Amino acid sequence: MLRLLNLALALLTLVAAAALYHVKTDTRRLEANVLARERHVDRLDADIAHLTAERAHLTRPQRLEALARLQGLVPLSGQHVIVVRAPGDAP
Amino acid sequence: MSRLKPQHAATRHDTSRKSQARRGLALTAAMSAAFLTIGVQILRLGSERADARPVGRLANLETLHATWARPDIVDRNGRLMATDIEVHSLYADPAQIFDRDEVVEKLLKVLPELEADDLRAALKDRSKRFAWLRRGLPPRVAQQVHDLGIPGLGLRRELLRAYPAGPVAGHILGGVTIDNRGLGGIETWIDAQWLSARVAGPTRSSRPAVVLSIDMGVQYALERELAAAMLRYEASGAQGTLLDAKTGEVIASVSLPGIEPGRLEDLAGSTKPDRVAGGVYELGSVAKVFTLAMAFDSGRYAPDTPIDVREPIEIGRFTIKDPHPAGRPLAARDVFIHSSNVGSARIALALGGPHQKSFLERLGLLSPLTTELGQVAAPLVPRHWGEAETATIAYGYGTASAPLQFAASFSAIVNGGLMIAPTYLKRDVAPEGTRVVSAETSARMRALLRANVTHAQGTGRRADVVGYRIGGKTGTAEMASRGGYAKKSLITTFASAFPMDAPRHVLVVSLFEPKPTVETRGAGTAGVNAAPTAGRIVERIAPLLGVEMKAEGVR
Repeated sequence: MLRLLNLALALLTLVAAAALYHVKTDTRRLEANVLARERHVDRLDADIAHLTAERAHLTRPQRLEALARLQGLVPLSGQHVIVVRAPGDAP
Repeated sequence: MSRLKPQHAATRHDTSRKSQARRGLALTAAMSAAFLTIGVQILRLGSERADARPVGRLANLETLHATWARPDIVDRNGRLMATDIEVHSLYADPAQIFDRDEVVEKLLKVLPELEADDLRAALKDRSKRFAWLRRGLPPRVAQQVHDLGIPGLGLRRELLRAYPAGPVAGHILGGVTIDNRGLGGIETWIDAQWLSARVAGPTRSSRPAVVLSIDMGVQYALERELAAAMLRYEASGAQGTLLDAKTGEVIASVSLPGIEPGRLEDLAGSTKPDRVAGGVYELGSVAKVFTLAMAFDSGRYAPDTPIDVREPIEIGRFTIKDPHPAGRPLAARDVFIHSSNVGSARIALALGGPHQKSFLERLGLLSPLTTELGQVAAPLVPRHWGEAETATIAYGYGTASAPLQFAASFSAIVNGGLMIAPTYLKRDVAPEGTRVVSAETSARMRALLRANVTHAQGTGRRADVVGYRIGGKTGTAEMASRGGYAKKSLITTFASAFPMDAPRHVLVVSLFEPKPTVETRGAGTAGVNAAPTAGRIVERIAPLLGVEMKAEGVR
């Protein structure tokens, strides 16, 4: 009876050891996976930061003003506004 | 012996069985212990929290150089003003460099801006294992350096502060050191609020962006118009402060000559001071706004109360007179429109020095002001507040304050009478404010300020632009110099608000040392330079601010 118990325990220990090994390797694989993904996210994050900064640089007011003036646009002033009055309205 | 044999055999058998049982028990105990250990380990692994182990980000330490991650800075409309970007920095291990001259020669081909002598000096000491050669390389240049394949050179990734809008709002933003620590402006405030964090490597800040009260488009327009005014009137400097009269938010704040954010040489030197908050000035007749407000708020004066301005006032060795004497008594309203020094002095003397001091204290003009950019330059206040001081302070000499502090107090006069502390951060809700003058006084002052622009003889008439109902007051002051005043060095100011029927914005513009020009017909006072500059600014920024144009004055 005792021998049978020992055998069962030994078998259980082996199974547990195998399971532990599997968990360990699986964890390492997942860790590597997480690390790779995090690095990828960091790279994308850095790229997004670069692109956002570049967009802000390209839409900076001094550049937009120069482009607008090239198109013949100028800031709005009173000279651009007329008031449409109905006949008989006070000026 | 033969009788003893079975006994011995039995004893041996017993001993053997006991020994076998003990071995079995020991084996069982060992197996149980091993199983228990494995079981406990499995249970521990199973019950452990996912984030309790140093995986991923903590393990991502390929770049060991410590730097500071800072949150982005955006304007009130979310436009990016400052951000951290990842760059490569070049370093050397001098011990691994064998042919120094060859390395210097190769590097200079890729990085021609470096000095050969500096490079040689950095690589000279072979006992050092680390020396920075160039920080913040663009990716393309970093790749070129990498392609050189020189042993002993390496690239590290780190964060670099970028200001994508260029020189806009330099004094407000400030800058950072090479290690991304704040160095002036709002960048210093970010560090003081613990919003930046020390990081090992190019890890960007996860904090939300700092939202400024500044409108970048308006800020740029103000900078452009002031720069144009400096050229037009040959001024040595200029400042412009635009506040939201209801919330105290600084919408734009310009000091020229300006600085470029992030340029350490600009930040470290004092050649381009922040004139908005970093210097105090006697601004001249714009102070009459406070004198008249004090008069109305006392209940002893109304706009039509006559004031005798026929004779100059003699106080001790001072004589107070008007540049263009009216020669007749003036109503209080006309004292303001004609900018009469005598009239203003008479009002202040009649109300008394203590009353005046208490009124200016209520407006916050005599005590230091602090904003996110630090303490505003403390106002200069006379030690002895006698009759002469009372009279001169009434028309803008004797106390000096920073334009930002002046603008905040001026704002209280036109916004209905509420003093609101200025801020460089966006406010979602307008603060309640502290009442400093009555709503009636404020309404009277608004009418006076508008009249000063629309009246044919108003000193601010050149500020008028169609549609936006500007009201304001001019001030021309001689600049304080050693032992007195420099007669030919003027500060001309126009303090204004718009639209005057319900003021939402306060604009204070000053030109430093403007020269008389052909355009101004030889004059150099605020009415001919600061006032038209303010008008041009309002015409340009009012549409950006969404100010409704009204038909008044439109053809």
